[in-house]
Amino acid sequence: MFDGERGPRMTIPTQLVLQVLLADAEVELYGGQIGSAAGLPSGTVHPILARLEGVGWVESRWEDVDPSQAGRPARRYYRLTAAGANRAPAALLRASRPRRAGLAPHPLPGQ
Amino acid sequence: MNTPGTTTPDAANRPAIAARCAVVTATLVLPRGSSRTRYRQEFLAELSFIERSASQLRFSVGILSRAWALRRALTEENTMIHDAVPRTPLLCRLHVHHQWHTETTEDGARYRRCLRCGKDHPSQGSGPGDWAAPVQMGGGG
Repeated sequence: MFDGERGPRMTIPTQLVLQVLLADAEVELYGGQIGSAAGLPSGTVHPILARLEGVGWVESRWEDVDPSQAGRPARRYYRLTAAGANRAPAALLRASRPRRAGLAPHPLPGQ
Repeated sequence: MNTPGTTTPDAANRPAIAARCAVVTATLVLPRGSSRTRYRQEFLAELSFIERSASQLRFSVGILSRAWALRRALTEENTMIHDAVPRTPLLCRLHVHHQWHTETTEDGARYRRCLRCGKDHPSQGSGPGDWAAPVQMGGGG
């Protein structure tokens, strides 16, 4: 089950999705919008959103429209939870730090 | 904010049958019950906002190709790891194939980075990711 101290697996697409959601944590976006903004193909975003929902970083809800009156189906909207908005920036930083540190040139002797 | 290629659906803009079938097929691998119903409705709703049938089909094929990944995301109990360590795909590790993407640094410089493994493109500048850049030796001159 969800362990509040743990975060999702931080693959690059997961980081891109989180960056999109973090750009404005108050705004609700549907899956296609998130994928388009993150530059990810369809089908990639929903498994990531499902994992983020599973760890409590993202919440979703159906659009508040009556499909029969609106003449169109309701979309599913996603947004960061308070926990996600608090913890995602640090997780993104942590995920990128090892790679950067590993690629940085080693200090020369005497420097 | 509208996704490019999307519009407000109307009666004349129903998703193509092939695209709808692909989406419905994709959701068949999901766990029965509320999950399957939810994602089927969600995908069909998103599909109905896509204007061109070719785009609809591309969307559906994408959903279909990643259906098992969605199933795993929904069913795996422990999908988390304590330290958020990125995993490097095999093709990236072997330097066979990278998925290059142009990004911008905080100071406005542009560089290319692999979407899957995070490696910086070797032909870009002499940033930290440029492993081929010459290392300046101290005391030279």
